[in-house]
Amino acid sequence: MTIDHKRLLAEIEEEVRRKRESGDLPPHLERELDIVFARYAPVRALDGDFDQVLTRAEQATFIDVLAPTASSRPVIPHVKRVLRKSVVWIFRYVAQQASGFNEAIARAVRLLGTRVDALEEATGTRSIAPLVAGDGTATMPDAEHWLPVLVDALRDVQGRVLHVECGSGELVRALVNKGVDAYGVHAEGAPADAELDIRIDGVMEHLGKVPAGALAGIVLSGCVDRFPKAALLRLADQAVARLAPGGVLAVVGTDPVAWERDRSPVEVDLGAGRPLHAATWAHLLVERGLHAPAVHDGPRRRPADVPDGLGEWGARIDTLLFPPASFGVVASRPR
Amino acid sequence: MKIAYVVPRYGLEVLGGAEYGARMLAERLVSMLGWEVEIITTCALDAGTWADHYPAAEVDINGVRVRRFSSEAGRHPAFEGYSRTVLPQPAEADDETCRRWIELQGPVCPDVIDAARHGDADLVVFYPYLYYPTVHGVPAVGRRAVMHPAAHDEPPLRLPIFRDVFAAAQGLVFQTYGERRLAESLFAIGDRAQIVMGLGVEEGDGDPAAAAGAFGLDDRPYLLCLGRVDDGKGVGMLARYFAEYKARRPGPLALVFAGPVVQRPPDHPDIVVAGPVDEAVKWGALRGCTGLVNPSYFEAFSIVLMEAWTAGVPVLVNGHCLATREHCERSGGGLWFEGFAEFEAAVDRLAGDAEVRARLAAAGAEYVEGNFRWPVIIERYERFLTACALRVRRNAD
Repeated sequence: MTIDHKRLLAEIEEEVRRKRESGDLPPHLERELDIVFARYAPVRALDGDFDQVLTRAEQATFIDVLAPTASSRPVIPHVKRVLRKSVVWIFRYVAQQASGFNEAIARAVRLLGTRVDALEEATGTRSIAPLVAGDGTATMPDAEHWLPVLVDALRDVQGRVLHVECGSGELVRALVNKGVDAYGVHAEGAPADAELDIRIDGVMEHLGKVPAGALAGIVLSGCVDRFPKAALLRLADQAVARLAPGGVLAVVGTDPVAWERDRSPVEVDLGAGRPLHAATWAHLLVERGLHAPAVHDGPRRRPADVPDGLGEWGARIDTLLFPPASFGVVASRPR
Repeated sequence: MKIAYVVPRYGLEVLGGAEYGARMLAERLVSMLGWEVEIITTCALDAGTWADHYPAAEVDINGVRVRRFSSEAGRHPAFEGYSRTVLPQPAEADDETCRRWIELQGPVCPDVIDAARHGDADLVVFYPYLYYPTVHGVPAVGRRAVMHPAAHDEPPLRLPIFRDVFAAAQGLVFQTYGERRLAESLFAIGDRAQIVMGLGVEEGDGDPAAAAGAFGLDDRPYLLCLGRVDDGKGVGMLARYFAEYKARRPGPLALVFAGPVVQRPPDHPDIVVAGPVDEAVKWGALRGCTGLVNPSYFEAFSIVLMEAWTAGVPVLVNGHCLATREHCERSGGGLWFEGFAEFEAAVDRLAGDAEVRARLAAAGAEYVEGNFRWPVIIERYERFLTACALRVRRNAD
């Protein structure tokens, strides 16, 4: 017995919409009851949802001048009603002005929101966002080759090691098996392994939650092939800042030539981001105060249908035609 | 493995809340894993006063060694007034103000801190974040500290003093992903070992007909709101919504509030305020109700949802509560409301469509089965605590 929960929720939403349109639920009654609800759910509960916060602000512009008069004692409600009746005209006068001001502010913020939406559309920021967040698939090129290299580079660190965009956690598992205190983060949609500490989170979001100098090791992969240039520079800043003295930072990326070769022209031309060269990563890390990194070439990927056996010259031609498809850059922070 | 729990109160009489969760876990670490577990706590029973109730002594409760210490101070009469000056802008409070607020809140029990600091437990587990024992205890035990914050979005969580408390804990155990998101949005704890776990639930006995009889409802259908009857739990709002619902939809449907009454909702012919009920009536009511309603915004986990799904009924929750909405979204076993219009439409569905009710309940039951049965919980908890203890040992070497 299963349920289409999304469909059920949509049906309820449609029912609510129909009720409002038909006048079955009078607006004044709904507003009065929604204010009762709002008293038990502070607006900060909606943080992160701009439209909902604004809707709540718009609802809150209404000031109810009729204070409740109920009381458990017999005479008090009557006294309260008399008092309310005698002063309500003053409150109404003040409330009208306050409500007018609040409405104007809420309207202005709504217009500002619309303009920000338009700006995001025009600059493409919104369409880039999902690419920056990660699509949950690309993790590490040539993983089989890099796993032992990374385990070797990180096995002796003292403290926690983070693998950014860890996929299903192969590197985290390999490190944990070697006694390293490793955990990983990955974008939404990654398979969760209950035995490992793997968080579903955005790269930048997660690094923002880690104190400066807290990590003994960081491995960056996946996102380094996909982020736009500005985001990659920020990623380098954030990662270096979170590294403890003596900590190790490793970047495993796709070589830009191989990256272009393996993609369609449309994707290459219109993609939001692209990988940097190994030398560029080395430059960025040294620029941010790390020791001169070791740069490792990944394996060469010679297509199976290219004939072999052309001797020394053939090997040289292979080197030119089929450069390593990935690289690893490993640097440490001075103690 | 030896684990010490530090909680502000502990006992069989403490039902619900973080301390109940601590007892559930402690007892199962003993019975299911054979670990040595002790509780370091005060003599308090009443969380409103923290007055000493139990003798300051050592007792055994269901295989768990409980050490109780007398408090120097409980809840101070000036606490509420001081809160009114501090909590409107909690983030602005300086260290002295925060410390005073914590002391006025109580229970002030330095002996608990000493016992935790000098004990030989491999890990010291604090539960929940809000009180003196955790605020002073977590920094005192250093890397042995693991915390179950049981946090929800409330002003005290924004007091700056809690930054140091959260940062000092080596490991953090959250009840929901929403709680973790909330904590991570306020404190730089991303690198800390973490687990999202919740609590387990075990089905109890109870006859629906007997429960309906106890409520004086016989064959009438009813919605059930289980837990403290308190305006802060959204009970007043639910009573108001239900009264309006009945004015617009006359019929046999009733609403039952079952739990200790702090603030009684206004009288209404279709609303029953049953007061505290025993386990048999609770489980009978859960099996016999049309659906469980939890209108509270302030929930860190809400075990009653798991109990409702275990009993085979759907749930309706406050759409702005991180924890309960997350359970409904992840399970597909419940509905939520963010205003009267949604409440009315959801109750219409629950009360009027038996198939929807059954399907929601089945989805909820599956969610509980996969995530909130004790063997599942304890297996994950064991792995997490073992890794934390290993970290402490490595650090000591």
